[in-house]
Amino acid sequence: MNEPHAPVSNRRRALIIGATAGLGRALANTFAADGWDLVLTGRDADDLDALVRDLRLRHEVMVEAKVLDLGAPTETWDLHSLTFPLTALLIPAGGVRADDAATLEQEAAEHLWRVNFGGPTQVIAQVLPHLVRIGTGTIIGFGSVAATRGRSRNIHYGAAKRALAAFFEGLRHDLNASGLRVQFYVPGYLDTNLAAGAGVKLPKGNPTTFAQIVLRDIQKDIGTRYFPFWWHPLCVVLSLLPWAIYRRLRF
Amino acid sequence: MIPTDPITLRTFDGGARTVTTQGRPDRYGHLRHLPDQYTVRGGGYAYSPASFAADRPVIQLGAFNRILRFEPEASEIEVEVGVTLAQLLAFLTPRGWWCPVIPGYPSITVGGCIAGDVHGKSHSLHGNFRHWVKRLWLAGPTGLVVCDEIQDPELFALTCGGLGLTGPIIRATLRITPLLGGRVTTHREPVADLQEGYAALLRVGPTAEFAYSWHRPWCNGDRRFGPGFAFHGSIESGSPLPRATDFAFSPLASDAHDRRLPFALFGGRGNRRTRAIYAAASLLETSKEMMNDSLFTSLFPFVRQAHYFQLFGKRGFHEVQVLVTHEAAPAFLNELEALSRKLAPPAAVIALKLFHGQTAGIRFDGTGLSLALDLVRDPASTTFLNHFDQLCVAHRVRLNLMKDSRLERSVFEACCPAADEFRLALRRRGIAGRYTSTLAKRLGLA
Repeated sequence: MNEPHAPVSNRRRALIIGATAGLGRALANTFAADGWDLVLTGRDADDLDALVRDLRLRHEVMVEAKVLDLGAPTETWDLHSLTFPLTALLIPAGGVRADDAATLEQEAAEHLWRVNFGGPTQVIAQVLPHLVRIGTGTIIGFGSVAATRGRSRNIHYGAAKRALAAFFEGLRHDLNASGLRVQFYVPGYLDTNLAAGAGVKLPKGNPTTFAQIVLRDIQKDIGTRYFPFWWHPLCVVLSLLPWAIYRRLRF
Repeated sequence: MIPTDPITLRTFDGGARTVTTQGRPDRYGHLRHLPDQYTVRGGGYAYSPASFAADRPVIQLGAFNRILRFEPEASEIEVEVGVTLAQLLAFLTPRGWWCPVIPGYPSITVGGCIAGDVHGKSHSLHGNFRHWVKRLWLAGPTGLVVCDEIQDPELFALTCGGLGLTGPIIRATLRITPLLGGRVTTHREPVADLQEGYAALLRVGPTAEFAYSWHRPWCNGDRRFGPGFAFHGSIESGSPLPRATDFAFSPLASDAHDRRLPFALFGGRGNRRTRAIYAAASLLETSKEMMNDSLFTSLFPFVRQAHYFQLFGKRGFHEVQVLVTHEAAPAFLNELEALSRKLAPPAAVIALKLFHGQTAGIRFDGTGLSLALDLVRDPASTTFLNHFDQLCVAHRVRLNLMKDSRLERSVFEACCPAADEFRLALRRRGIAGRYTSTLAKRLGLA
């Protein structure tokens, strides 16, 4: 817990990209409740404003906000103007489209790529030098079980999340001796609007429970972890299925 | 459009059920793309089907649950109305403030309190919830629409107690008042029958922070009907304020019927099982005349007694709540007693409170005696309630529309002459039918 009057340099501070809904909002609430100061980004100023006001009032932590649309071309935004230091960088932002098929038009496909891969990696590119200078902290990315294998649904989303998983593995390798931790979570379906309307039959994970696990393990070198945990063996099985069987699945 | 999922919804009393779809907007941008017609839903704790309808999606606004502004110097707090009473009090009470009109379950949302214009246990002192609402923001197609007693006062008046039929409330500014302590001292006085309970409330109720009576709905050994206890209490000035964690609890889901017993334990021939339960409970009952409890326990006695609802079984229960004028109350109580003696319904409890307010619109408000009656959901109760309806019509009672999931339009029309005015106002504003519910359709409200 941050002491209320501790110097800024001693306080724990997290930057959460995509904090205004779903998992991002659960993370913001959980970290604020634990006394972290926060820097939050989101696409909508009204959503950000309501979240910032609530967290400041209820948890009496310092909260800054920046409107940032990961789907916008990366040259239109930057994070260099944020004040530092940071203790953690979390990038739960992501997005899906109901019409995400191989024939998706270019502009929509590029938007999905920016939201799910280009934007997050550009965030890291901008923030990483500051974290390396501090020499300690955690960078946390969020993938998806949809990236386990290519499938006919969410084809661009799945590909982008798989690319993000590879990026985070590379980042972890790169920063191995740096004092920074790199964690990558692979969530299954969560009880948020991202999975709403998708006809999901499997149980949905609770985003608040997920956020509490992320907070609990923020100092650990966990590598990659699935949530809920049972998605891990399920994804192993899915990835090992012979094509002759996999091609018949529709999910 | 926001995504929706199929959902089965039931009223808390088990009386109504529907299969529909539900969307849960969680961004302000979603509010500009809601369907043309839908039903608004908060926590879903109304006993009647006021927050769903079969032919349209439900829009559940629980994600709008943030505290936006706290100005103790102005005695105000601004919230998104998905904030629950537990969240509101967890924030306010440790800081020495509260809103004193608190209905009986902590998961009820501020939005539900406004839409139902609910009451607490101190109506004579604090009135209904709307007296503590300064301003509202409703979601419109182009953004939030503000209303209060100066800006669109008609919309403000229609929305407070309007059962969600004027559209989704998103934000509210509430009046708050200093909280003098976190402990409540409650005096418990045995009363021999309903009339004695009423007399006790008249004696202490008008100035008590908490005042109500509970009665067993049968005759005791001395043949007097409705023995029980009258309670009146006050906050202990100077006692330590609550902590936020005092308001943590495991909420009962608003439609957790599958987890209830498959049969009712209350009831039986001549209500003998209910009597046996009370007899067993009385062995554990305190004989104390004075109790000292936390504010949470005093405000929400049913949280620690959630098994009470279990005793009605999976089929659920009926609750009816009416407001009788003081002039009509003695006769009403006598006739209720006569009806109960004759039909011996499987009733679990009768609760009385005093009201001191103004009758208006379709709200449950006015001056007189509030009587609530819980019964097992079975044919004997249905027979009793049909006669009870006639009693209500004869005495022109006010009906609590949030409570009775089987209320018929004919009874409602007879008891609520202002219903037409409400309907006309919705039509004039072009919103009639836009946000309707199963309840509103049955009562012909929208």
